Formats: sequence, structure tokens, C-alpha cells
Amino acid sequence: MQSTEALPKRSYILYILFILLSSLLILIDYFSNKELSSYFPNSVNFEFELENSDFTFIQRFNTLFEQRAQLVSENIRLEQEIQDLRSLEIVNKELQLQLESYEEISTVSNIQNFELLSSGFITRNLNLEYLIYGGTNQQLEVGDLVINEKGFVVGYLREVFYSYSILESPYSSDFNLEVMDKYNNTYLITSNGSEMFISSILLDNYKDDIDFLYTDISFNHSGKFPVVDTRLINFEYQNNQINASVKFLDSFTFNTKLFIPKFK
Amino acid sequence: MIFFRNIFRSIYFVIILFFETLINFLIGLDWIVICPFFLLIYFVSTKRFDNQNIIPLVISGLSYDVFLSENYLGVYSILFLLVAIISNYIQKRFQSTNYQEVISFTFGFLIYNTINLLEANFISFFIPSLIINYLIYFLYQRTLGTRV
Repeated sequence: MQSTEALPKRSYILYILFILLSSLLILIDYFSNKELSSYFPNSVNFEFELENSDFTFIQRFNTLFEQRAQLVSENIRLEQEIQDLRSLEIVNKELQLQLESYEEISTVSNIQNFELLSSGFITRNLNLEYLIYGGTNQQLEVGDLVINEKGFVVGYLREVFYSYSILESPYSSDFNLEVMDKYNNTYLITSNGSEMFISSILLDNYKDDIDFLYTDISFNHSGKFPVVDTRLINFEYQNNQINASVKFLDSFTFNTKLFIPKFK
Repeated sequence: MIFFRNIFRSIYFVIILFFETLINFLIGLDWIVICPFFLLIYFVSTKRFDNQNIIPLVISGLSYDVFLSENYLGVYSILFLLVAIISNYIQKRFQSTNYQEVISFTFGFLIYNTINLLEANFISFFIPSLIINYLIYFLYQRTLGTRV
């Protein structure tokens, strides 16, 4: 029993000896700078004298390999082309989405006079201050108006950094914006974070059909953009003074498209 | 007689080894290799383990190192001898289990491909190659079985 168990282990000995012998060969080859392993390939000449017919046969064989190589390279080229087309398709979709976002704002009057810098929300803090894309790298300045895709003002830039800015929106209690109606009456819009308050500053020519309150270049704004639709707001008119409070109907989402208009 | 037998067996081993290189070149797939030479080593080391296989294995390894690889002379000889020893050892060690052949085949094939181990796509090439080679070995054994 013991002899049958021992037999396979003993039979490995010769294998191990040859492994050691091969290791020795590796060492010799290593120290001879591969002279040993390159001796045969250098001394044996694989070029034979060939008959014309043999050559034709080999040539055909070579052609077969060449065709295969061509097919492989063509396949690689086509694969690359497909990848390029796929990436183009993605770019195309992104551009279509961007185009759609511009479609609505393009209906706003006089918008062609402005260069629209596209932006978007990055994050917001607990004080409902929003961080948006774009900063001094896009020549943005403090006080620049920010409008949504319908052309309504959603706030202004309170602080501008290199590539991002802080948006002061009506959801912040520090929000205040001077606006004007179409009869040049001026108003101040403030906010407590949950409601917006509109109070008149100067009423020269007040009428009921003011419709919208706009920003104006006379307040150092970049242009005339609607801020509030007053048609659904009940104004209290007392002592040549108008006051109103507006509850926020919709809040921002991170998908809301933002534009910063710059006069051309 | 032993000398001629060794010479004949060496030539036969070298032809199969070169055939393996040729067939893999013609198939030209990165994710699969067919290894008739490995099957041969595995077969002789598990079914016909003998010291007479040493010289053919060493000569095959040396000829591969000389003509087909960039390694130092003797690397493939060691590899082939190791595959033979380890396949045989595992086969004997796991004799009591049902999957002794699969285990020894897998280990043997892993050692046979040790030189490719550092390649990034090793796993994706190892597993299909292992399956296809085991399938060939299995079919070969079946045909051998019916002949007997």
C-alpha cells in the first residue's frame, strides 16, 4: 500500500529535475543576452528556392491572408464609424432638447435684442438660495436678471463667482426688486419666503389694466421683462398707495431652464 | 529504441504545438483559444503519466521558445512540465470527488495560460476557452470510449 502511494510522488522527481535544468537554461540565456535562444532563428534560413507554380500557390495563400486583414481593418473602421454615429446621435438629442427650450422663449417680444446665456440649477441651501451655472467666466455681473423659458423674471444674481452664481429668487426673504407697469408707475416687490408683496412707490397714472409688472433699464436692469402677471391679483388701493400679496403657485425644479439675458 | 521513440514523440508534440499556434492564428479571435497541445499534455499526464513524456515536453517548450516566443529559453519547458505535474497531482488528490477531472483540467489550463494572466481581459478569454477546450476533451474521451 505504501509503495503504490509513494510511486507517483517519486515519478515527479525527474520532472522537477528537468524544471531545474530549464531554469538553468533561462539563467544562461539571461546572462548571454538571449544569444542562446536567438542562435537557431538567426542561423536557420527559412527562404527556399521556389518554383513559379509554388509561388503562385503561396501568393494565393497570401492573398487570402491579405483579404482577411483587409476585412478585419474594414470591420474596425465600420465599428469606429458606428461609434461616431452613436455619439453624434446623443449630441443631436441634446441639441434638440436645447432647441426646444429656446423655442418657447423665442416668442418673447424683443428677445432677439438679447444674447441669452443658458444656465441651470446646481443646488440650493436651507435659506432657499439657489446656486446656478455661469459666472464671471461668462461676463455675468451682480444684479443681472435671470428669466425662465417663458420669459418671466425668476430672480437676479446676488453674488457672482468664476463659474457659478447665487440666484436671489422670490423664495428668499431678502428678495427685493423694483418694477414698473406700462403706465410708468413704479413698484417694489419684496418677499418673506412664502409670499410676495407688491407695494407701489410712485403712482402717477394708475389704471386697472396694468396686466404685467416689468423690469426696466431705468432700474439698471438689463431689459424689460415681465415679473408678475397682475391680472389675477387683487390690489388694495388706499391713499394713492397700492398693496398686494401674491402666494407662490409653482416652485423651481432642477429641470427649469434658466436664461441670463445680456443686451447685445 | 527508447531514443527513437523519444524523437518520434517529440516531433509529434512539436507538430501539435505548432498546429495550436497556427489554428489560433487562423481563428483570430481574442476571446477564445483552442489548445490541442494542452489537451495532449493533460491527456498524457492524467491517463498515461510517464517519465518518457519529459523529453518531448522539454523539446516542445524549447522549440516554442526558440521559434515562437520572445521569452528566455526554457520558460515554456518549465510551464509544460508544471502543467503535467500539477494536472496529475490534482487528479490523484481529488480522486474521491465527482469533479476531479473538471478541477484538474481547470488548474492545468490556468497554469498553461499563466503567461497571459496579467492581460486585462484574462477572465473574459479564460472562461470561454476553458469551456470550449473541456468540451473538445470531453468529446474526444467519448469517442475514445466507444472505440474501446
